[in-house]
Amino acid sequence: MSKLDIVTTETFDVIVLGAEQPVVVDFYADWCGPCKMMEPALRDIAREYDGEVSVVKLDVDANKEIAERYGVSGIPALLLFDKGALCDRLSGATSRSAIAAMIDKREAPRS
Amino acid sequence: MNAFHGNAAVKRDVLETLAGSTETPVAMAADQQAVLAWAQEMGLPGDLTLLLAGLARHSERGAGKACYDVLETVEPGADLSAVMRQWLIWAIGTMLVPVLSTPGLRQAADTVQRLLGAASPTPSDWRRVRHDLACIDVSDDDDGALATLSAACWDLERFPGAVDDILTSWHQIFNSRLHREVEWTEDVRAAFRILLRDATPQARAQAGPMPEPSDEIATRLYKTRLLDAYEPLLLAKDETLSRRGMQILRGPRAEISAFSDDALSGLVQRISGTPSAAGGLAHETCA
Repeated sequence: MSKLDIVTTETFDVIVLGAEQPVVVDFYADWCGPCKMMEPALRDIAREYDGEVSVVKLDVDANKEIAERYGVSGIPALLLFDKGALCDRLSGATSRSAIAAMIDKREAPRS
Repeated sequence: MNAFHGNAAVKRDVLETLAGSTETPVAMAADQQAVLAWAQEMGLPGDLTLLLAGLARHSERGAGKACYDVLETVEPGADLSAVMRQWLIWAIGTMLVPVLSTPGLRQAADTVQRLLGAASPTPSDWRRVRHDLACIDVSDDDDGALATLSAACWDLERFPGAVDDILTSWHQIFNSRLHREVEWTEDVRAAFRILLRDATPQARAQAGPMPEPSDEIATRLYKTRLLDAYEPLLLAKDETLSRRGMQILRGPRAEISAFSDDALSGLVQRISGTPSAAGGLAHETCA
């Protein structure tokens, strides 16, 4: 089972803000139980939207400045970026469908 | 996939492990990936096994006995790949639709049932229905039902983990109802949170050491001990507020247990309609 890519303060601007397709960033920490529970759902989302949307993770403990920049005060938090801009966010453990709905709001469903 | 790999000895071993166990067996209580690995080992579909584990965990009979009762009905060699979808069609029709209050949601439930009964829905089909559901405005009463329908709109063979979303959102229906019944408004919640904060050091001291988060059974026992410790401390402060608060903290356990046992009965019925490798009973027709 493939793991999700990790982004850091150093790579965030290139991988997330510079991406051509929308990117979902999972703000997490190793000690966070609900964040671990979210992992299978995020992997499924990455598979479902393969080629259309990227899903990456960012450790808030190791990358505090990014978390502060986007006002992430609680985790897990999922932030959706498109063409360098923050478009939407979800806080707390959530379902596949809620994440999918956040993504689908950005684009019409495939025919 | 043939149940128990068509081997009666595998089934016998599983049932022997489950017999007499009142707690969820390790292979069914651990994280989702462990359940899926166990399912593969036993020749059982992952989605169905996650459903069984999720329902059994809340059964009045105890998880081990509930799992035993269901798996006992499975014929070695039976093809159970369609059972999860058949169960969902049945569960939506008999347990979800009757509690819907938003008229448009009944029509959406029909659409979801048809999709679940279709021969081979494409990824676009699932996605289109999810998108349509996300556009429906529902009353607060139907939030959980809408989330449950959306959670059911995934190809469960590809994404078996979505079964956990289905059960979580179904439980949310009972939680929402409880919140309404005890008039759990933001003001009440805030007042109760202050009571809880003040009582926490004493309650924690009484409940004893906190277990590792990974130990599910110990964590559940600890939570029960902690709630037992909170109750007299809070009632001594403000009885009316505390009774409402304790109801919320303890959750609608009886309702979730009753739902789980009804759902398990429905699961047994769907499994009983599944043909074994030798022919057996006729397939149940999807709506």
